[in-house]
Amino acid sequence: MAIAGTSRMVSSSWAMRGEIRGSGLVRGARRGWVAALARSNRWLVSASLSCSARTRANSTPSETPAQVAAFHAGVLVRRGTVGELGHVFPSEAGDAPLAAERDDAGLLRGEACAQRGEELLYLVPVVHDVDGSPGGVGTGSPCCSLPRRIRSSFGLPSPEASAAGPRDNVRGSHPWLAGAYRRSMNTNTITLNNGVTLPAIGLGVFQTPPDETRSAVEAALSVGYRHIDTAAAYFNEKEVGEGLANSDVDRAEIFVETKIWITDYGYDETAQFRQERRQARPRPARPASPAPAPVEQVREDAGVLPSAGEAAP
Amino acid sequence: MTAKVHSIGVSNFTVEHLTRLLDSVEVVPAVNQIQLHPYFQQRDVQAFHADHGILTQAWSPIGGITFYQEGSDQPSTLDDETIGRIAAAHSKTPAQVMLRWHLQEGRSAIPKSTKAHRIAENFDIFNFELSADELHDIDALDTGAGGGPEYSDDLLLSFGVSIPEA
Repeated sequence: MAIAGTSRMVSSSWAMRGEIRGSGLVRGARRGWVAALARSNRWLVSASLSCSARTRANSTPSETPAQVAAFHAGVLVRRGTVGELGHVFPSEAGDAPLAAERDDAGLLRGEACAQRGEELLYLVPVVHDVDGSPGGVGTGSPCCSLPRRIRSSFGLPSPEASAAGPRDNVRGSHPWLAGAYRRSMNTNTITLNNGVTLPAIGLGVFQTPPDETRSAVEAALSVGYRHIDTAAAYFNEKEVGEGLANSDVDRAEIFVETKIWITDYGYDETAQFRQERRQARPRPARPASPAPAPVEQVREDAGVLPSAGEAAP
Repeated sequence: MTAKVHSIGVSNFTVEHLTRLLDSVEVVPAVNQIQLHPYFQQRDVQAFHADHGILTQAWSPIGGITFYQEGSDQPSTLDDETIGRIAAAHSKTPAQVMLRWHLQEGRSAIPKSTKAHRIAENFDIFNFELSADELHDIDALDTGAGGGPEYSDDLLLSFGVSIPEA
């Protein structure tokens, strides 16, 4: 399914409350029902979207609106201007770019607290299951994952006053979407399209000599990094591992990103490559250029290697 | 043996690469790691990522490639007037402003340093916020020209390695 067209088309395709003014181009996602409102010159959205399509809590992104049950889509932007990259900014100081309305709270994975200036490139109607599950917004129990500050500014009840806990059906049932949502600005976490969370800021060790890698990794972990980016072709994977091992930080908290060298491309080859890395066998030939070729990045847990049975091809 | 590859991604993929990839696979890469700094923002790739749920991850996120390469005639992002002005306004360093810019625009970034004080500096970015105008001003610095080699298929072929169909 793809949604494309102007806001007028959206309002005809999606039952609307409120209004959309302007000429925001709604681009459809490659799969699913996501529509990103972006890339218009200027537009105003002050509404909640009430989508008549049907959804289920566990529906998959590939399902079309016609197949998913009634849900509310999130309140989007009030007044915004669109930057060159399609970012949407509030146009007036103090304007909250995102606002939640009663019964429509819990938008953007509870992060309807977009602050002034926050990029809203990935504006999407956020699904709230209305009919599909008890305690949903349609039953009179508001979602309560909004920050207190936002809740109070929109007259929403406190989380404690709500019968329903925070709803997270977007992240749970549409993991590939979750990565496209804005995260809260002062956290270091991004959710990837497969639901895995990635610390946004990682330590890079490209061209870091092996004998300096260990200490760099340790220094990073000690000040809060939980993400290290290396590659076979950097010739310091082993020292990254040693730095991790030397740290008090639980390995499970740390995201290691590495890259397979081209001699190890292939499903079995990659698994074998990981095994060799672990055993600190001789490295592949140093690349002629310091620039990495397009390669796969993988995350692995410490000391545990991909197997042919489970590693993604 | 337990598998522990949690996510797979790609790096230095262009829109053409990604298009070819998505046409032939079921798993959408979680990440595409690309050169991305204020002077080289790869908006076509970023837009493609946004459309497909791929996270943009910036290498050379503070434009190191503009100043660590010998003989580079590119100006350094660290000396950029706009970035410097914004940094001064927040009592932050240009590097911190650039990393914050990535963060606020939804990207992951992997600043490289071997020095403990730089490593700490690069992580001290969760306590200030760039305004919309400031983000805009940094967005406007894009020159469209990156450092380093072009990432064409020739780069791969030059290694004389045949890539298995897998």
